[in-house]
Amino acid sequence: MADFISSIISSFDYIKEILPALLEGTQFTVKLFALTLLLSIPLGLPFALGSISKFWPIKIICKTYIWLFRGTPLMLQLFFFYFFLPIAMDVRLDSFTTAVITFVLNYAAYFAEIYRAGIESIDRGQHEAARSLGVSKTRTMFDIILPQTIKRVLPPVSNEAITLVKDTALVSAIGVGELLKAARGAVNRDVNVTAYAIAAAIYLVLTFVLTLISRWLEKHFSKYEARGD
Amino acid sequence: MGYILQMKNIVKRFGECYALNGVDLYVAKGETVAIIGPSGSGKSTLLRCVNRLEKVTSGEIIINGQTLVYTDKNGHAIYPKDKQVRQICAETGMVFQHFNLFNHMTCLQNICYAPIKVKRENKDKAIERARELLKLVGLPEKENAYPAQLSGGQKQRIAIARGLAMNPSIMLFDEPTSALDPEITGEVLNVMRNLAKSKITMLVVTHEMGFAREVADRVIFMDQGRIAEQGAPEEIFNNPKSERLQNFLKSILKI
Repeated sequence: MADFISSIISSFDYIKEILPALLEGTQFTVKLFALTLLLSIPLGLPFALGSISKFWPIKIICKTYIWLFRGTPLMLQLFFFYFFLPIAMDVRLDSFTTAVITFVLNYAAYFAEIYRAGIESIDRGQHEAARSLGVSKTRTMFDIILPQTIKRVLPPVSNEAITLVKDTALVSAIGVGELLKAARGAVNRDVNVTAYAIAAAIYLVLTFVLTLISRWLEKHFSKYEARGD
Repeated sequence: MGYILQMKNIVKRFGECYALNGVDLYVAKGETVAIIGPSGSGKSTLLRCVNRLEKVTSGEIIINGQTLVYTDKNGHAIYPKDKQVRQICAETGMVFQHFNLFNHMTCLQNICYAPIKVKRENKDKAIERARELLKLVGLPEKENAYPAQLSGGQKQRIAIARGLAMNPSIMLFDEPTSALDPEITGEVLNVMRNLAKSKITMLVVTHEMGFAREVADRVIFMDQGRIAEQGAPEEIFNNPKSERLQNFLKSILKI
């Protein structure tokens, strides 16, 4: 019994010892996550609108962009930007900035497709009603269609956000010291897998918080669909 | 003279199929015209051509003195620029079979949106007018309700108010009661009856023969993309001349 208690105490001590490094890694993870989401959610919109544009050069550019970034592995894109930018364009960016740029471009492509599907799912009658009232196409899009699209795209967007939390682990490949890299460091050094368990717990907490936020947002944006007074 | 709507030799082709095949229709100010006919006869298409939800293949449409479309020597239908088209079409108010209210806006917002954003009316005035219209359609207590909170009949009455808010020269109704349960069509028809009484020009595509008979000044029977017969309601319903109209009325009365 005393053995068991002392082993628990000593494992607490070990956790206390590795936790600061893991939390520091978590900071990078959260920063990368937040920056990517903040920039790619708006960036997806012009690409979505472009991909349904009737002006074909814009349509082709946007569709090609979406195809490239959805059609290749995110890890490959990371390597590409990490090695390509310094060589071809002679810009040196630190690995974290490179990671943010790559992630934003990648996730904007996914969001663009989600938005496009959402916009096209709005009943044609909404366009017709707006047109019959003399509303211009641009106004119809921004005042009538997009506000109704938000609610429909929230579930797939939060789904992507949860995927993003886990995708941040990829950037350890170009040397960003995020959560998984910090955990791997501790595991390799101490020959003890506790760090992985803690990392898993931290990822779970992050995704759980996201789930709560998205649930709240969905409720907020469905207020006009509530029935009864 | 005094025509609000003039449609001359309207042809609308979908591929090989002629939805409208040479229709002439004139609607005088204050007149209520009902269009009846079997499904696929081109009634709705004709109505949708009036406010350019459909583009005509050839023909001429003049709304309140403004030319929406004419046909050049080569037989091509010529529309003005989109901005002008929108301006002319705003002379018409459209009520759809499926209401098409803006789901994310309250009833009041649905009614005021176009007057404020398209006509650039003063906001307070537009709201005041919207409240009057809500009273007119008998739903003053619903100004802050969302469409999802209304019954079908209430939605359609709000849609009528939305159409009227732009002060159109003519109101277009595309089967306004077809999506409603039979027992609540009455509330919508009542509103339309009152509009007809107050001499608002109306063009109504309908399957409600009772309404056409009682309210319309003139009834138009369409078949296979043409106007097959037209006249005063008594004439059309009591003394149909063409065999097609006789058959149509028989088939409807059987139901």
